[in-house]
Amino acid sequence: MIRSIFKQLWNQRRSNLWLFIELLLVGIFVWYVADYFLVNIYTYVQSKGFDTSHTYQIRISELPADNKHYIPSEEKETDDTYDLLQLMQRIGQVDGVENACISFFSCFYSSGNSRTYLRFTDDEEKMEFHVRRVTPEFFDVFRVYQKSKIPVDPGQLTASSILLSSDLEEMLFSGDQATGKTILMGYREQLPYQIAGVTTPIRNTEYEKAEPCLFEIMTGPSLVSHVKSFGVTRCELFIRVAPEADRDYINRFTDQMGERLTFNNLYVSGIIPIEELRNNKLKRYRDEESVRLSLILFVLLNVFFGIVATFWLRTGYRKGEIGLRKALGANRSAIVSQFYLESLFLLLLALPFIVFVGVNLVAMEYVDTYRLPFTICRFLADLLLTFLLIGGMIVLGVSYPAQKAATVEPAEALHNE
Amino acid sequence: MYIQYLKQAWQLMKQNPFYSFVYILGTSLAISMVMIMAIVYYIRTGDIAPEVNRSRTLTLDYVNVVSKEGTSNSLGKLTWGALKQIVSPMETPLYIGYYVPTSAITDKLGEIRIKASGSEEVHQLQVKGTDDGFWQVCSFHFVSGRPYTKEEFQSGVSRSVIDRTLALRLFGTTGAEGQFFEMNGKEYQVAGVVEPISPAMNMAFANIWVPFTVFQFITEEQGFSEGTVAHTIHPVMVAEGKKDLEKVRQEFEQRCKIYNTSLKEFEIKEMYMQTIPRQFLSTLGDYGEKTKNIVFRYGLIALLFLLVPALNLSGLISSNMYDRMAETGIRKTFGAGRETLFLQVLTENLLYTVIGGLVGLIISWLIIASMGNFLLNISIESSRNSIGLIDASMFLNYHVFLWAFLFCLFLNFLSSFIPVWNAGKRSIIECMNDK
Repeated sequence: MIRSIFKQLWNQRRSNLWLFIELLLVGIFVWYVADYFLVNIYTYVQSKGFDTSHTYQIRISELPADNKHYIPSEEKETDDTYDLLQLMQRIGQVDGVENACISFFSCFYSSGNSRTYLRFTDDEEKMEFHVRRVTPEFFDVFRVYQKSKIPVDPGQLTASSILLSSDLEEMLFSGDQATGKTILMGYREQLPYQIAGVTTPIRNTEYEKAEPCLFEIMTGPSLVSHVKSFGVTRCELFIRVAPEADRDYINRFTDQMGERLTFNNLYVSGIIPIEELRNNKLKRYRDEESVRLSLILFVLLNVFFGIVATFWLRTGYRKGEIGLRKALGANRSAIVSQFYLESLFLLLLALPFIVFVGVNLVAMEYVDTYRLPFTICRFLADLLLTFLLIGGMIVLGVSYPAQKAATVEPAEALHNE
Repeated sequence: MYIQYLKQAWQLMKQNPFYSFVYILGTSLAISMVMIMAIVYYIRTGDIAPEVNRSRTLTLDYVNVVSKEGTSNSLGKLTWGALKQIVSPMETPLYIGYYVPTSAITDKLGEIRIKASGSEEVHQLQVKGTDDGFWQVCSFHFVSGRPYTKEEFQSGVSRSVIDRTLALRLFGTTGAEGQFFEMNGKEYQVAGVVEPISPAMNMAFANIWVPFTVFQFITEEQGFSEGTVAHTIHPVMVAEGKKDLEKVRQEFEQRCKIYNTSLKEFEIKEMYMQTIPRQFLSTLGDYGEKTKNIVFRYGLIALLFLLVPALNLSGLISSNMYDRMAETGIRKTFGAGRETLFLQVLTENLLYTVIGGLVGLIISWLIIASMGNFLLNISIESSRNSIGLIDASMFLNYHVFLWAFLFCLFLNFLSSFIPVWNAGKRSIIECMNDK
């Protein structure tokens, strides 16, 4: 059987050669892109470690010095942190607001981030990590849970508490419990902090792998000092809105805030759904996906046309052969399956070459092994996907010419010959 | 002779509709894909109104300012203070302009809200800060009024230019010069009204343009490294011609060195000036990726676009050549050489290719028109208050047609060469006998 298919392919080598080269080229390309999508989808469906639905960022701005309502600092009796907390309290009173929090460089889906040093003793090497500086309500607003899936208790957090993500705990304590231990943290000088809990791993976006990070708690004096050092306009204010209240919320929020939008020199200058930040941030990844998807569609469409054209013309040439086979007792389905087998066999022939190039691409590190390690399973999944996609196109493309060939009348075909 | 070939090709096309259909479809697919790439590149980098000077424009990508001890450095653009000393006095550029991107202004002011007396409030507009030179760098079509002048820019008065759509929404008329509106708590007077700009015009696009001297946070931005580095203001230099770009670059570097003498602890070490095409290409790659690599990658994609369909076409042509073996044999008998036959088939196929190319070009227009936001990488904010991303002049021009034709020629050659060459190899006897 296989020998006869191979012979047929060889006899038609003139047109098969082109088809073979095309399948090979397309196969390599599809394999590569299939691998990309596999990694993307795998990464996307993992837990993010936070929830941004029904959350908003409130933009805080400072009046410019030439504004008529501006209060010069020498006339102002309160400090920025006090003004900020007053504003936050007012925001908390707006209908539908469940909770509000303040942070620095910690917004999910933003490009800002901040890093700090950690070490256990003074003479150890310093290690640098991503730090999120947040008030205790942050964990509730973004639904960041402990690794045991219980919510973080804000009442237990003090100005000297920090929380680690579980991958950081693993990295620093290799299997031991981190909660309750102390660690030195800080950029210039390292001060002792109490590890108050361990959260689930946190990812920056759906398309990125979780990165070890820690949360520094800002409350009381530490909030004041952070506001002072980073500047009040750099702070991020977030709210979580009750799901039932979250309809046309931006307009309702602005209407309700009305006059209360300003406190001393600070004012609310905008409200943005975190989902919008998410869409902006993910646009780059999604665009990349669309580009690759359209490339795949393009090459597959070409495979389809190539197959249709080749086999269509082939039916013409092979009328005599088909007629003879029919006369010798081959039924309709035998003729049709002959066509399918021939074309799929061609793809099968290309497969070893695709594997060869694929292995080399992996060896030269042209595929993403950071987000998902390269295993034999991943390789086989890529190969299967490639075979299914191209094979599907081939079956689609052959079906019509094959049907047409099967309708050949033996007497007529042999007569023509 | 060629006319004869084309006539014959036309006859063949009528005789063999399936062959022609598949051939033309295959070609149009290939051409549409490469033309999407070519047109996007053209829209982003060609001299298209209002950005008519792109081919002779240099922009400052960034400078690297390092401390003289070499312990710290900062990358970025220049502060207004530094720009006034380095760029403004430059003599080689024909025009010098500055602009502050819309995002830098919304980041500071929050959402832009505009209101004129008697009109509804308009939200989420895009405001660009510019200087007076910007109106020379880009050539806007003024429906009424004029841009703000040098004096108005320098004194920081609240003048503005708005687009026609906004003028209609605010004042109900396009002749809105002299009218007032309020933007985020500050009053502005309209100096001129321009035709709406496509967000594909990165540098020119906004709904409202104001002198950036009205914003203290821009002109008085402290900056890093002794007040040299900031990120807000983008300087643009237009040279007299393409060949003068190098002179402008040299003068800029020269003036940076002079400026260095006024700094105590820091110096501008590296200056990266970019042309518009290079700037566009660098946005396609990952951060810091070399332009060469990006061009290589996209070249590879374009080749794939052409090569895969070319393989299909080669298969088609080679079967077709087989069918026409007898004809080839007869022509050879009467003295046609290999080159003659080769040219004939190439010309014949060119007819198909050109028809396919035209169909492909139309497909690429349709795709760009429907998926422009994504293909041209237009942000959600910019597309919100803009009308008409693309206009016909971006498609219907000789650049686009020329490129499409060149791609057709290349595709034609790529797909015909081997099958036709092989067909020519057969001897006369073989050709005639086979039938």
